[in-house]
Amino acid sequence: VLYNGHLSIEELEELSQQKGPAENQAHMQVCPQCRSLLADCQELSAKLSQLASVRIGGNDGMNCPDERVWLDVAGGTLSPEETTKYVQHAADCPSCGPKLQAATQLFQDELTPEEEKAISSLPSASPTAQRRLAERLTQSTPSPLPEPVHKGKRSIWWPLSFSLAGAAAVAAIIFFVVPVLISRNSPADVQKLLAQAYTEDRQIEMRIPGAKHGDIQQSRGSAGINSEPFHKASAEIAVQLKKHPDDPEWLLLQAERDVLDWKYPDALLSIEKIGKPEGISPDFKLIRAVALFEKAEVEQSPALFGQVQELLEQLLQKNPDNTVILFDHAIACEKNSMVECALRDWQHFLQIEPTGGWADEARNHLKALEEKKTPAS
Amino acid sequence: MDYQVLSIEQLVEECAQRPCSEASEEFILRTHRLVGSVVRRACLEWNETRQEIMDELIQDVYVKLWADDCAMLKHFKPLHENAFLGYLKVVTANLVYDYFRKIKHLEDKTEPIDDAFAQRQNHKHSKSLENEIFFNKVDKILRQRGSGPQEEKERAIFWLYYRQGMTAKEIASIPGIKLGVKGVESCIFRLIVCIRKKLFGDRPGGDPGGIPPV
Repeated sequence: VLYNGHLSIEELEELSQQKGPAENQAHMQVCPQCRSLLADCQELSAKLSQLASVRIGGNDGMNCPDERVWLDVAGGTLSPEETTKYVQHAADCPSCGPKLQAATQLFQDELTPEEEKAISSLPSASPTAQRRLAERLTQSTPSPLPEPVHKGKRSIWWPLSFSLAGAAAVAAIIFFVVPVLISRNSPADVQKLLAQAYTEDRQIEMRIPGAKHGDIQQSRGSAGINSEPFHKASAEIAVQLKKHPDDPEWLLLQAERDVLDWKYPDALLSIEKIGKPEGISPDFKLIRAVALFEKAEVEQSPALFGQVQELLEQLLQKNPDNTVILFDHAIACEKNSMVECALRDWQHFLQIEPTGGWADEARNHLKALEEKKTPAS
Repeated sequence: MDYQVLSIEQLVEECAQRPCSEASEEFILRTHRLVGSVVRRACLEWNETRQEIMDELIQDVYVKLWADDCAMLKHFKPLHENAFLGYLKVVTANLVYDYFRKIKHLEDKTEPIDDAFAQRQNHKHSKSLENEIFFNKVDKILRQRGSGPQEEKERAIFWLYYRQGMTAKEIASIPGIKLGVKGVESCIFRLIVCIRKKLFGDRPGGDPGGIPPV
């Protein structure tokens, strides 16, 4: 049905997309007015299609979120309100739009024949490998509670033995279990576990409080730090934060745990949640500096390295002989190519801590810097 | 127990609460293709094509899910139906990206993720004033339709399609959009018609255009 003998805008749009009934096509042949309007419609489509290949506007002042958010948006792990907010941002932002697109492409359910073939040919796709992996996973989880012991025939000594056993059990609880239970919840103990995890599987160049020296692991550990103390500390932090989600002490330990595993965005979130650090551990700034250092490393951002150095300088003003801060400050100076500053720190460090693993590492840095300063002719 | 008859959410709960190798095996069997596809695509973004690395990363995903007494499985809270598979994709992608970030840190050879994204962008950085004016004109029309959540969502869909170059399928795959491919296409069609009417005027007796209130 033609309106006033012409095609409607909807029909013209359909035609511009090569759709619509044949009689509309036929009308175009005989109506110059509709043909002209169709040409306008096609021009508009062409102009719109061009927009995807040019960059319009910048992302200045867009306040772009962390890039990990786009995975959450594409994976549907955020609330509808958050998703809408981020999708609207991506639609308007020349920097984030492509990141959202990349995330949706990464998560597409349909696989190309090539992908199907490649994935099914992986060794882990075989039923035997999957069975073995399942067994390995199950063995690593705690075994279920033991079956209750079958009661035997009671002897005449049973009442006495019960009292003795009971008394012994009570004594054991008082002397062994109660202290363990009390100490289990102590932030100091969890920090010790984290320090132990750091030493056993050190993944970061910077030093953290209370940790003994450990060599930086050059082998990959993509599943994160895989050490018993780390898992124990993680579990305890999770339990405590479930009970007290805003407790600054546990939030700081959570941040410390995250920096050990290069999860600096999570660490910075926890630190942000703590808000004002007054009254809590003096390690607050140090952990923040380590998290920012990781971010700076990943983003290769001199500005961020500068921020790290500044934070550590503030700490050094209050504790000029603290070897952990000195060590980290020296590393930050190196990253900022401030050789003199780094040399000074390493020398100062070695005066205070002349022996041990940290001292050896400091000496290596010092040697490398001195060689850099006076290159062999 | 016959684990094959359980939904993925039920299976996750079984694995978390009563871990046994049979339940775990069924879980791996059902999710290996999904985990494998995300791992492979993420690896290719970093030019990593070695099967053994991909395989190791796939296994790491499961190790991570089962770590700390299946903490990640236990603490998973679904925000919508079929949410677990989306969560699994996010966990997998983050694990692979973290791995490459770490490698980049240690070896300083691989491009950072921002560069990988930037390479995909392939923008010409044209400063065409004409395009800018045209874009603003169209955006003004879209904004004039209203500023309610529905209008804002549709404006976002329109610009994801035309400005960011996403396909209707890619847009529809975002769970928060809550539209199928046809729904996205139809939304774009309606907005195009609305824009044309504003720009060229409507034919007498034609549809008023725009999005009917939901």
